[in-house]
Order: sequence, then structure tokens, then C-alpha cells
Amino acid sequence: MTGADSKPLLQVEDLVRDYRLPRKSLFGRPESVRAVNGVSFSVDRGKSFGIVGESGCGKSTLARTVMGLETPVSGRVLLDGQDLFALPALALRRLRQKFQMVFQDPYGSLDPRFKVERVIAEPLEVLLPGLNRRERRERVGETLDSVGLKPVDADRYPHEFSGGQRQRIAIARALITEPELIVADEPVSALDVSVQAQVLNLIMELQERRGLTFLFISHDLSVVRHITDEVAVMYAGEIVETGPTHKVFADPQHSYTRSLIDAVPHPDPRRSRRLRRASQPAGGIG
Amino acid sequence: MSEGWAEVWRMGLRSRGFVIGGVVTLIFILIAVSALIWTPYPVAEIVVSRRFQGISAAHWLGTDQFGRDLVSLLMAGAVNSVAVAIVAVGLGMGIGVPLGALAAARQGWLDEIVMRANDFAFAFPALLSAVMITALAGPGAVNSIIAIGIFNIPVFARLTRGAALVVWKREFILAARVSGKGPLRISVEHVLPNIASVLIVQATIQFALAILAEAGLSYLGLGTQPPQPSWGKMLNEAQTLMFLAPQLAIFPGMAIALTVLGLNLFGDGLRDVLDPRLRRER
Amino acid sequence: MTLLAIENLCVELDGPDGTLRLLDDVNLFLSKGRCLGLVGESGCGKSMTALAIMGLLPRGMRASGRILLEGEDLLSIGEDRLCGLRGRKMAMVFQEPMTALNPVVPIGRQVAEGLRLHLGLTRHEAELRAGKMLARVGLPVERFPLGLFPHQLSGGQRQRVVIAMALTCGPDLLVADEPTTALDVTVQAQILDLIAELVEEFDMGLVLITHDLGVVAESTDTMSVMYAGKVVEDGPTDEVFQRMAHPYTRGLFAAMPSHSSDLDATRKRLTTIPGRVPDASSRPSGCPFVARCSFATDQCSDAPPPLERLAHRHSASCFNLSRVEGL
Repeated sequence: MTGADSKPLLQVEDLVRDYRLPRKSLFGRPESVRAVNGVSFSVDRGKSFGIVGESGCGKSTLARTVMGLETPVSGRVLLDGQDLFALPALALRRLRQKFQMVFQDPYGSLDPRFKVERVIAEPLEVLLPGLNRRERRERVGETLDSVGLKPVDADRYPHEFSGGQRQRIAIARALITEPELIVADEPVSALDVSVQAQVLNLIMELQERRGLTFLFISHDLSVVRHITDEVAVMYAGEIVETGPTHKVFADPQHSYTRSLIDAVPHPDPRRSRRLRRASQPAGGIG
Repeated sequence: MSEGWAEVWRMGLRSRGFVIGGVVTLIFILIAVSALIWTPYPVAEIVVSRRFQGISAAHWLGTDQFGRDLVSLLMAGAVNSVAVAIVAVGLGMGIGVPLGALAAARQGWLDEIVMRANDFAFAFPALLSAVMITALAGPGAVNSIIAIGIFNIPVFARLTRGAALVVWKREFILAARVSGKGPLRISVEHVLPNIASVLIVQATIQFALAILAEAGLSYLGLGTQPPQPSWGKMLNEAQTLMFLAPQLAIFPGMAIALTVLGLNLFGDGLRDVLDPRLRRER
Repeated sequence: MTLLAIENLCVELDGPDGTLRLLDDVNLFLSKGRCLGLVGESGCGKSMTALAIMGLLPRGMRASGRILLEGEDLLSIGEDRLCGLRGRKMAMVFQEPMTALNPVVPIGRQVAEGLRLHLGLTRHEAELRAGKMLARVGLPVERFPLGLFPHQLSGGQRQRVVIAMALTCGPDLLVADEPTTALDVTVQAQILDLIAELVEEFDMGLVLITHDLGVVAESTDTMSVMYAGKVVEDGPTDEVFQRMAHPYTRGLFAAMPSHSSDLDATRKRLTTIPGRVPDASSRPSGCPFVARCSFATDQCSDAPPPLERLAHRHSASCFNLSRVEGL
């Protein structure tokens, strides 16, 4: 086992993904735009790897390609040494037990017509179709418990929960197969600050307790900085800078990384760089 | 789900169209069902001596040129209308919905073929083509049902595809794909339940259209054949007697108009009732 | 001088289960040339306050109290008068630039619309001034012709158009409801810079609504923290950040990841506020924050704490201010 551990769990090699645009003229060839352009990185077991970038930089496309939901033009995604896109469909389906995903929108990612139990047990339906009702309920209950919800919540519908609780349900769905890798695409950006902190704590706790590996995609630098070990900065489909998180944030090498870090507003009025009128006298009312 | 339906019911009682349309539709269906076991007089009973009677206690709406009881005829005609409409809409949904769902699920060339075939079917006015089909295949109830059913297919295929494409873009579909489910399974488990309300509403409206179409075909003599009664047929026969016994045309006409109006109101009401619920659930 | 004074503003809505109080006794104050930040999580009433100021509350909601814009009570004047004020004396910038713009009308005409309506300018004059305004917000006519449609612009550029629309008639009050939430962080910085510049240049008052404490810290002079329809703490921005008198303000601040420059903060647990914001229908009778507060005592659930003055212009509503600050 130690031999396997030294190898990275996820290896992404020179990944390229295009999107076709609608053709401009009737006979013209449809143009395409390169969403991900030659991206390579690897994530070690038990580590948390962050991908930051602004909207349209290709980070979500990258996440979906890593999940095998989109097929790349070229490049490989190796999970535990197995190339996702070289596997036959059935084997890929089975391999899905090892890598699951958490989505951004806690309102859109749960089918409103499914009860929570069915939502969470969905990955099991394919992997363990033989599971009987009682076993299924038990596993759902345990998983709900581990994300801070109650087993009785299994009988309720998603719309009865708040955004933060829904995101916990989504995390429970990803956990139920006991995966090794979780790809989280902006998992906290739709949540309020106080709830966001709860979900981030849960993610960190799960990672430590279960030794999970995370690929964490976000536009929010402070979130990525807080919970990842390594980070890659994406710009226009390419990784412009990568390295240990604390190093990248302390000493950014690429000018884009620097401008990104500088743009984050600091919750400290004394550090404000925005124009302010000279310090107003405290008594200057009306 | 029981909770969901209770809410639909509560919302429904607040919508005027839903209540009125629902009551009219219910009465129409009750009449059709009761006609299966009981009519005031045997439907086919011809008693020449009592023809062209006016409204009376014995014959509530009078009798026709053969002395048949108009109430009995209308009741039996309702059976015919319901049967034709159910089978025709069932045929349209049974083929159209899977086609549309498949087109949305698979995209690409399959989608193109299904949708272009749809466009082709839409290019002909439905009733005219039904006339053509029954004229070719021979008049009769079964052929008219098939003709009407065929023109329900593209309606449902297009509607299903459009609604399904919207659902396919939602994140819970991606989640299902991450779970390892294929497009067909996702269509059945996630997509169809989420577009069911749209389909139900459309089915109500198509039901009304099918009743109209059947009446139209029968009126032209291409639909239901005598002695089986049908509203369209009754209208046709009453046409020549318009000045002698106008009630023979008025009552079947009213029956058609009322039923279609009721179903349309019901469908519109249903849309109002189901849609806000969906919007809130998101 | 005082530009905007909101006194005892309450907004109520009659629902099927009784009357809901969405805003409860809100008091705000803004001088010309200054920027007031309204902070809070979703459902705290900050957008509701903005709509109340603009007289745009959804049908069925009743507002009471006073909203004084340069001494004129906006709640007691008619819709006609309000229409005359909106756009001319007060203007609003929304969160989603795409939905705030009409997709089928060129940007020049959208910006010129207010000028023609309020100032009665001719089409030509209005478009000329619209062009100048667009140039001022960073969209010079040479590169961004007036005939462009919103979909031909990026998110940040669209927000610039919305700002130009809001400012064409030279309003005295600008209400910006999460103006940068839909934008990328680098674009956000540019837009906030632009707004700050314009506030100074036009000597307007700005009400900036945001959930981001960083944005408040960087761009406002005074701030009010809202929670469950109430103002729980307000005062000069630096002072509020320095003292964080209310437990909710503290909690909000502590829940932000990596707010310190501590580089070893990776994987350290964040301080959370347990539970969630109560719905308008289930707010407790005492302090709205009582269920989530670690300082709560019996007193807190009995009656809502009054806004207590801590220093000149800085106040917070909490019974346990001394204990909170003692930490």
C-alpha cells in the first residue's frame, strides 16, 4: 500500500478541451474556442489542490473534464493510474465510486422531486443495485450524520432545507460511495459568509477524518488560500502559476496572480487603498 | 408526494378557471361514464311515431327525425368523444414524449432527424391531413382515432424536447451523471418527472382539440359511422333540418362547445396551479 | 449637510399567516459626499431598505416611519412626485447588469432616456450628453459606439453602462445594491474605484449594499450592520471594525477565511455562527440574534435590546456589550 501512496492520486496531463461555436455562415466551418489549453497538474493523496481564476478562465470546464463528464480533445486524466478516457463505459461507471463531485448551486444540484434519501443514495443505485432498503437507509443515515444532519432528514424534500443544509446534502451524496477524490466546483460561493464558514469547516474536517483528496475550484482567493495545500492559478484556459498555496500567496510570480491578489478587498479600513476623503472629524454631523 | 398534491389542490381552489373548468370536465366525464350503463332510452331505438318532439318531461331535450331520444344520443356521443380523445392523446403522448425525451437526451443527429420529421408533420394542417388519412384508409372510428393521434405526436415530441432541454442543463443532471447513470435512465428518473406538469397541461388542451377534431371528422362523415352516435355526426344530420328542428343542431353544438371550453379552462387553470409551485421549488 | 435620513422605518407584509415585519425600526443617516455601507447576510433586509428608499417596494408591502431626502418625506408623497425624483434626485444600480439593461435597446439610447424624460432634452442633445457620461465611466464613444447592444459588452462594461444611466441626471443620492457581486474580483475593484471617484466628483451620497465586509471596509465612511430586519450596529466604518461591538458583527468578521495575514492559517477551523438567519415569520420576540449568540442571557430572549450608544455616532443593540468587548 505504501507504494501506491507515493504515486499521486490524480494526474492531469496536457489536457485540451474545445467548445464549438455556432457557425457564422451557412457553409463556413464552425469555429471553436479553446476552453482548456494544455493543463497539467497532479494531486497527491490526502491533499487539497485549489484552482483559482475568474469567470470564463476554464476552471469549471476543467472540473467537468476531470470528472469524465466532458471528453477532451487531447490529454489524459489519470485517477490512481487509470486513464479515464481509455476505459470502457462500464469500467468508468464502476470507477466513479472513487471520485465524486460537489456542485456550486445548492438549489439546482438536488432534484426537487426526490426525497433526500433518494438524492443521497443515487450514486449507490448504479454501484450497488443489490442494496436492500434497510441497508440503504442505514448508509444514508450514517452519511447524513457525518455531514451534521439528522438521519430523519432523509424523509424530507430538498426545498425544506436552507442553502447551507442543501450543500451538506450534496456533500453527503458525494461521500456515500466513500470516494478518494472529491472535485468541488465553487461549493461555497452561493452561500452567506456565516454558512460558508460552516461548510468549509465541514470540508476540512472530512478531509482530515477520512483522508480525502480534494480538487477545489473557486474564484474566491481567500477561500482557496484557507483550505488548500497547493494552488494553480488559471487564466484564459491555461495555468499561469502553480505551487504550494502559502508560497503563491506570499510571493506571487506571475503578474496576473499579483493583480488577482491585490484586487481582493481587505476587511480592514486602515488598509484601504480606495480614495477616501481625508479622515473626517468624528463630530462632523450634518 | 401527498403533501405536494394537497398544495396543488389548495392553490387550485383559488383559481376560478381551474374550478369552473374542472367542474365542467368532471360533469362531462361522469355523463360519459354513466352512459355506459344507463341512458334514458336505448340509443339506437327508432320510433318513427315520436319524431321531432319538443322538450318534454319524457324527452328532456326532445327527439330527432327518427324519434330517438336526444339526451340518450348526447350521452352516448360523450362516450364516443371521450374514447376517441383518450386514445388519440394517449397515442400522441405514448410516441411523442419518448421521441422528444430521446431527442433531448441524445442530441446530435438523432435530435435532428426527430425534429425535422416533426417540422414535416407540422407543415400540414392537422385536420386536413386527418381528412386525407381517413379518406385513404376508409372512414371509421378507429381510423379517425389513428389520424388524430398521429397529429398529436409532433405536438408532444416538440414540447417534451423543449422542456427536457431546460432540465438537462440543471446541475442535478450532472450529479446523476457523476453517479454513473446513462442518458436513458436519467431521462426516466429525473427529466420526465420534472416536466410532467407541463405535459399534463398540454394533454388537457390536446384532449379538447381531439374532441373537436373527432366532431369535425364525423361531421364530414369520415369519423364514427352510424348507428354509433357522435356529436359531429348529429350536427351533420341536423344541418338539413335546421329550420324544421333547430334544437337538433343546437344541443350537440352546445355540448361540443361547453366541453371544449371546460377542458381549455381546466388546462389553463392547471397551468396556473402547477407553475408557481415549480417556480417556488426551483 | 444631511442628504438622507431614515427614521423608524418599518416595512410590513400581510401574509396568509399574519403580518410579517420585514424591516423593524431602521434608522439610517447619510451626508452629502459620503458613503454609507449596509452589510448583512441574505434576508437581513438590506435590499428591502434600498427598495423602500426608491419607493419601489413590491405591491402589498406597507412602509411606515419617515424617509427624508433633503428634508422631503418620500413616504408621504405621491407616486407622480416619486417618479420625478427617481432618476433625477436619486438613482439606483442593481446587482445584475444584464437584467437591469434592456437587451434590445442600444446603450446610448438607454443612457439618454433619463435625460429626455427628466430634463426634456432633444434626442440629439441627450445622446451627446449620454456619450460624455459613457466616456466618463470608461466607455469612450470611439471604442464603444452608442449603437452597441448590452450583449456586446462584458459584465463589467455593462455595469459601467448601468452606472452611467444612474448618473446622467446628476442625482444627489445613489443607491447601489450589491453592484459588484456578479463581477470578477479584478473587475470589482475597478467598478468600486469608479463609484468612489464619481461620488466625490458629483458630490453625491452613496448607499452601498453588500455582503462583503472587505468591500465595506474599503469603500465606505459609515456603515450599518443589519440582521433580521434590524440595524444591530452602526457607526463610522473604522470604528465599527475596530470595536466590533455586536456579537453578530464579530461573528461575521470571524467567519471570513484568511482575513489575517497569518500565512499558516491553512486548514485552521473558521469561527462559525451556528444556525441560520431566522425567517421573517419566525423571528424571536427578543433579540433576533439570540438563538445564534454565544453571549445570550435570559434577558436577550425577553425583549429586544435597544440601540445603545457606545461613542459619538457609534451604537450597537446588545445587552452584553461589555462582555463582548471584554473578550
